[in-house]
Amino acid sequence: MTDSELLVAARAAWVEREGTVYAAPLPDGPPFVLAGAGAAVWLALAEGGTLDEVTRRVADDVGSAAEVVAADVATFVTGLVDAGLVVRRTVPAVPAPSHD
Amino acid sequence: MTDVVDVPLPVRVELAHAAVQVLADDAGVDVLHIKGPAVHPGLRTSAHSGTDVDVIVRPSGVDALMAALAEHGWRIETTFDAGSAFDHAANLFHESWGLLDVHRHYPGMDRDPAHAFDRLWSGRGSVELGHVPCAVPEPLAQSLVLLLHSARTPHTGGDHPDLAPNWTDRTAQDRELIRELAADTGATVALAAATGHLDEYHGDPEAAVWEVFVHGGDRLDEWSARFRAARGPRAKASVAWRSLRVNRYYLGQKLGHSPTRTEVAVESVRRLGAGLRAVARRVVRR
Repeated sequence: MTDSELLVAARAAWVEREGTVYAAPLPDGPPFVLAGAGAAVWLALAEGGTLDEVTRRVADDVGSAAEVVAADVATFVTGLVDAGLVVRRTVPAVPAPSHD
Repeated sequence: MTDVVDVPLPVRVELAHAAVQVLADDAGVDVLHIKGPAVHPGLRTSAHSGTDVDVIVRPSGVDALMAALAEHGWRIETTFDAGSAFDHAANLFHESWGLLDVHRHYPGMDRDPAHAFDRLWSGRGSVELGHVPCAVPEPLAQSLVLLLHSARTPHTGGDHPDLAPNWTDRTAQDRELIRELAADTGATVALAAATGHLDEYHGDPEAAVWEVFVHGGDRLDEWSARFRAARGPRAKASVAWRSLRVNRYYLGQKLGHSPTRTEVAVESVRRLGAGLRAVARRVVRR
């Protein structure tokens, strides 16, 4: 069984200033401006983790239920991947602990 | 996702440092990031947010880096031998990143650029710019770089703001280490210019160049000093030739368009005439 981890691309740079994130694919750019919810998703994603984990962090940050923001977060993350700013890394899922 | 709008200049500069580092890594070229956000916070003055990216490149990697930059949309604004009295930096522009100065050597450390770079590189540190690790000189070397820069940067009203954090406020031991680094990189005279001790080197050909910056002077003074400081007949001939050559970039800026051959020729004659008039004024004054 596998899961997909989201990571800021190795060939991306980003800066956060006063709640706004400026992120750029390298080496050519251009920089993208991520404000409001976009910045919240980026900052949640920059900590790493699966889409579910990122979604939970965003939900906590904006004070909503994860189910409410899940679709928007997923769409936004897809945009970040398409822009070359984020990569999905397939990693083996941690097996459930045995209760033998 | 919002597209490219209104990226604040300090942010753009920081991202640009990261972009240049990635290109240098891809090209296998060593670069050291200097000035602006690459400077250690304690050595920075408020005016140091930076408006462009400055890097020193290992001399053997200059061609490879310039080729990589050109392949990725960086357009040369001024070539190495057209920018300053020291022929030290090329200025480039990129639509996404703005301005970049690539230093093939650093003014003051230009006697043996390869050795100077080695010396700076051997003690390098790393700072994250745009979350990308970028190589920077160690803090004492950063101070020397900033001091050498201050020596050729006109400043009115008291000391240059970089002098206090990088020299005056440093400990005696730090200042001695900076002197040692300056001696090892051929920058003793330049450091003296930065710290107000240039008179100790009066008569030294190298000091003549710095005297123009410290005490002021016109273009004739500058070119004369460069001629005296040039080592060997070939270097002197090069300075003499370039003193008469038209800088096409600056002429283009003045004209508002790329200069034609006729405009370059006219400017050549004007430049020669200006030089001769400056010489004549000196003769009359004497």
